[in-house]
Amino acid sequence: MMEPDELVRSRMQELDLPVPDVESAMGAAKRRGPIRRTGRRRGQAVAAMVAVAVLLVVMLAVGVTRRSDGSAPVVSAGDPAAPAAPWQMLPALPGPTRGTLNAMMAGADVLVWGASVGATSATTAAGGYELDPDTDRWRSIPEPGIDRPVLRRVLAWTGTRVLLLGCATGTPALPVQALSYDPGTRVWAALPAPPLAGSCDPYGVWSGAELLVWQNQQGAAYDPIANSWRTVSAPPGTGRDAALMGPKVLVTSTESLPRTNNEQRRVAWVFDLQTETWAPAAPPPVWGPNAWVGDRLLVLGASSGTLFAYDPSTDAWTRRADVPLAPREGVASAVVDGRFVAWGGIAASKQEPGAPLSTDPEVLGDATFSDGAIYDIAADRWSALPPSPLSPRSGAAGLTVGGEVLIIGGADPCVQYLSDGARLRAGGSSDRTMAATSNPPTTATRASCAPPEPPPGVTVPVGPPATSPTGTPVR
Amino acid sequence: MDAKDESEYDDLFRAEYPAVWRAVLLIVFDRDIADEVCQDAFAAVFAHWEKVSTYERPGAWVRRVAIRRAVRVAGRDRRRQATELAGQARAGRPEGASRWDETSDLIVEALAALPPHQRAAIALHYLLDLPVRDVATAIGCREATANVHLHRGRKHLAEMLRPVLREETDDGTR
Repeated sequence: MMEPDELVRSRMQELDLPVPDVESAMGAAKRRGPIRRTGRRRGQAVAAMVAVAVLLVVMLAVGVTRRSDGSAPVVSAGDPAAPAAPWQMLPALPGPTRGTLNAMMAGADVLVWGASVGATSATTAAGGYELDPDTDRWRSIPEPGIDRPVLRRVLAWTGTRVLLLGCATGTPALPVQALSYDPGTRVWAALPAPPLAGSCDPYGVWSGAELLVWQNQQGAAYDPIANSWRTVSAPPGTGRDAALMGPKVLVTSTESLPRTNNEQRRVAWVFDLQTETWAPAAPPPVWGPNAWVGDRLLVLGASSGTLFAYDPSTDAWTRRADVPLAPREGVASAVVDGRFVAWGGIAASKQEPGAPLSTDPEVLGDATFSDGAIYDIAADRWSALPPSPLSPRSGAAGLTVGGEVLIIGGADPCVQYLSDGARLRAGGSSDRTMAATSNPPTTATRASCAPPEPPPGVTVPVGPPATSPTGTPVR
Repeated sequence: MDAKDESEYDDLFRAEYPAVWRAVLLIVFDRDIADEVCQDAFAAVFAHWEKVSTYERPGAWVRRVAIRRAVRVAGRDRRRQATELAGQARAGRPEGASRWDETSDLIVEALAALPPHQRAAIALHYLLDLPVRDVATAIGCREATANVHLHRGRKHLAEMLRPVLREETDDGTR
């Protein structure tokens, strides 16, 4: 007797769907060209090609072979000398980069979302863009309205909609905002308010069916089908970050040690999605960019140059091969084809808490990087990434699209947010290209930032930037 | 592109086009649009063959491009399709189909009622026999999400096809 699943399969495969003549279709595809352009678009494309050709001629004429900052030359897909170039530049975002970007796959498209945070809604700006990775075309996402989440953002893709949850301004007293965005209709909708009281400080994960969010030792789960929240149990302590590990969630935080001068220690708990129960977990030796790779959670301690793996079945952390990069924070990361990519960042600050603010660049840690490394998870081995065409930066968004890693945005040494990005062919057959590349020297750029001249009569406030340039989730 | 490259491209086209076209058709439910989507995808492969031919699985690449385009097309026109697709599905056998029965109608009608991502997941998993990991790659989502699409799509299909499945399961015959 056949199982229903097998019956569905067999009946699907037996569907009589006559295919057009393959040979004719093949001829048509060859004649067609990759993207059909008509009218104005064709004119724009021709003009763009002419402009690029002129630019290339000028560059060759003046002998430009390397970037003025000493980083690697840009290699385009059409460069005949490098048909398998590991890096390719992406077109710049079509509008302003509003702070550190979150990036995610929303169906077939890449979605990025950023915000610059003010004390009030009026001084806060947020917005995002969608990229079609097949055509490398960006388009702006419509404004969702005034009460959009800008801080402590949790993003999820349900399969049809983006869920965006967070705090509306830099003032945490306001409740959590929750919205959804449908890329098909390009329409935003407010979600029911999550049952989370107190200061806005959410963290969470998408479980595959629900958006799980915790805040101030309360928990809630949003079901996009029912468009409703339910209460879930919260960890025994105040969590800060969550990472999905298959059927479990690791929540981490820090807590003050008793009888000390506010010395902190890391703590962790594991949430079982099936039983919805919590259990204490071994505290992580480091915390930073992380990725679940099927049986363990990799956590990059970029500021200490270490990598650890957490195995939920044994509740044990194992130190893996050390990272061959200068210590740093704000690293962009992604997992592609069994490998973990870490790129860019800003040198870790050595400023002691409470000490007078140092002017020593070594102490401040204001050097930014444009180098990176790739970790072979099965072989426990790091290799240097090929030199990147991107300028040094921290806090860039990293994500995987097929066999490629996209690095988008980030902040330069002067905390100016950048709108360009690049794709790195890091998967599958590009091994040959990666292996053929020798280790590049560490590329660091020191900040030499003069603040802009204020208008006459305006006093410039002194203080840290409102948004973190370090690339850790905006909090 | 030299003759050897073109021959390799032709081999890929002949091997992949029929299955990709059928999967795309079950996502967009329109032969002309399916033609368009597949032509775009295979034309892109032809234009970038020097690069695509170095991939381990060029077939997976063209599937990914075609399926994502199909999902995008289907998603953008979702409201129209919600009303029209079921009608199209009920309109009977596709042009040229000689083996078409009531179960075929039921399957197509059930698929038409699914959101594009679930439709794509079902078509890739059941029609092209792709494992969940490859379904996720083709659609552009995580494996867990692809599992959700499959689970929901399968549940809906099972409900729609319940009478047929019960009959065939009970009999053990077709």
